[in-house]
Amino acid sequence: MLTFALRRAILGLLVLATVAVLVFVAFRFVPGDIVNRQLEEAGAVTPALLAEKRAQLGLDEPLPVQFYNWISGVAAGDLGKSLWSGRMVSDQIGAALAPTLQLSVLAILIGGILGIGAGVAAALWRGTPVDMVLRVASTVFLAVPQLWLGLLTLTALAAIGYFIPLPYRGFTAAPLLNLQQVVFPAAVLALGVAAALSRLTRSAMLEVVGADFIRAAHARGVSPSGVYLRHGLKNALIPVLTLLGTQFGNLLSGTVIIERIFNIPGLGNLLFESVANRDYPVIQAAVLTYGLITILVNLAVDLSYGLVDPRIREARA
Amino acid sequence: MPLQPSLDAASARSALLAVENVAVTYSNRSGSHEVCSDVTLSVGRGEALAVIGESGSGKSVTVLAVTGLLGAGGTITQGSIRFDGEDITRLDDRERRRRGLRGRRIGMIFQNPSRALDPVFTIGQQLNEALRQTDRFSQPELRRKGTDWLRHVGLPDPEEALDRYPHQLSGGQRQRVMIAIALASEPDLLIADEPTTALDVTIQAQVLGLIRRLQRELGLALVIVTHDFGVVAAMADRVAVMYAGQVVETGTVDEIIRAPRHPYTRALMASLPTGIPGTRVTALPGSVPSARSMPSGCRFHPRCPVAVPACSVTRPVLDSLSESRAMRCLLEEAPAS
Ligand SMILES: Nc1ncnc2c1ncn2[C@@H]1O[C@H](COP(=O)(O)OP(=O)(O)OP(=O)(O)O)[C@@H](O)[C@H]1O
Ligand SMILES: [Mg+2]
Repeated sequence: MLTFALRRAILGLLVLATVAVLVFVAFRFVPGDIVNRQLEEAGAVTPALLAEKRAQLGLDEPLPVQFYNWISGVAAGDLGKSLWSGRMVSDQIGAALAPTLQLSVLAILIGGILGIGAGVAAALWRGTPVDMVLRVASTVFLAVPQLWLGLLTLTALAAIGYFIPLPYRGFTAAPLLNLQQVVFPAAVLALGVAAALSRLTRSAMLEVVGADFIRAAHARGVSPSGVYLRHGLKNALIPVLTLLGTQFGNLLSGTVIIERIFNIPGLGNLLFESVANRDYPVIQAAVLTYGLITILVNLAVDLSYGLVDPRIREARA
Repeated sequence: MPLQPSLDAASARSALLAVENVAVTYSNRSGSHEVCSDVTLSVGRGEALAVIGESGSGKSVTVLAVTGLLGAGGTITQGSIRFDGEDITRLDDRERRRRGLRGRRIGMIFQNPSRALDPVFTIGQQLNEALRQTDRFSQPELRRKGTDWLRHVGLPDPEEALDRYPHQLSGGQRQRVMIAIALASEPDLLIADEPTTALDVTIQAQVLGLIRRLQRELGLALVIVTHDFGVVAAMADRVAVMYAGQVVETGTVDEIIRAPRHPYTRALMASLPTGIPGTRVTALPGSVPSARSMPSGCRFHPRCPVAVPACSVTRPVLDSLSESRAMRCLLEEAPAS
């Protein structure tokens, strides 16, 4: 088990390193840099001034040197300073991380419970109107873009005279206010997750419900909830967990646009602004953070297989 | 506990389980098929009944009808099933559980122990589900009782086996576990649907011996499904022979084995396995007709070596020949070969 976790951790680091290279290189090919943007605002642009500014920020060095400077800093725990505001990047990431994590964890919880619940219900009431309604709903929510659903939610809330209070407050500072701000974007993100999960849970449950051990559990007098939720769901859970992991990745990318729409000062908002400003150190750190979260979630999903199925646990031992 | 082989008609009347003229139909979108048409059999307390017949003759469907586990689309369309005097023909799942017909009064062992045990729960967890049918036990009590049952069925290291998962046991051990689970809720009737077909030949006799011993010790009624007359002789007091969804002959094991009278029973006995897997002395030509295309008249007539023209027209009924014996054949006086 330990060696398995270790192997996965090393693999995760390799993925993270690849992400670092890709994000570093990719954004250097996007035309325009921060110096252009700053001087545009100032008004007077002379080639000499540009060169001087670039030299100040270290942007005149060859790319490999810049990369080396950055990555050695990262390895030592120093994410550098924002080219735009001069603040420590680690401070900015730290402040933005909490809202994003709260939003995505809340969304995956809501989506997981809704989706698995709907999938189990659809399987047990297969062919009935319940099943029909749930299947149509999941198809609809799978097809609707999150951006559109987010805007629709805001419009609908405004139409009934409800406005989400602003500005954003953290959960520890003002729990009630924070929940009012977070619950709608979380629900928007959760619907897509729930839609995908419910379809898979339904088919996985249908497969399990026909198994001999389900009939045998009935025969020894296990209650219906025991048969379907204990025996049925636990056996159907492996593919569902896998999907939950990949859905978390989708959800995380969804947070970028949803944070923007709902004014949540998370990683997504930070990334949005830093891209607009070509603020390379911030962009790179934000993308790396997303990568790290994704890798950790996948690791957790992989480890959870062993908790569900003893045969997988043994194969890894 | 001594066995009481009171096999007379009086015991049949006070039978623990009485299945009478039961028909079972499976229906789905593409239509419905009557897979059992006229099943009549009974088992008294402490008695062992073997149900024998070729593959597809409706043996499993019959015992599933008794436990109400026919599955999607399956219904009992005719006849009645009585258990201990109660009519249980059309009870729903909830009512069956409430009356203890699942586990506490009727235990069931399935054909394939590897598929009948849930792979992601320990043996102990599954055994506890059965133990809890009888009483509310504390965790230590459950453990002690679970260990006792596993020891009873001859599992090595019973205490450790509680924490094992099904895949960590051999096929024979798994079937022993299934037997322990079926018996742990202390039923009056044990139903075993081909409990050894999925097992290694060398293990089969051991597991059958175990079932027979426990059945006698605990004074259980037993219904054992098989397609092997060797099993019938070793395990049962009485036999019901099934063909194409009907019982065609019943009687005591002695009577049937010494003097089979229905042409199908005789053909089936003539094709006794030789002991070498896959080989039979005389193969019965043809196969069981499907529910879609039942022959007219006697269902066995197309394969019957002694059929007369009337057999393809007239449907024979299950006639009593003596107190213990009944047969479904127009040629009741057919000579024993
Ligand atoms: N769930 C079901 N749906 C539709 N038809 C079924 C179902 N279960 C059984 N049948 C049909 O009922 C008939 C009898 O099947 P059954 O399983 O009782 O045979 P069996 O005597 O137990 O045979 P075997 O020795 O192979 O176990 C078969 O024709 C089978 O196709
Ligand atoms: Mg069968």
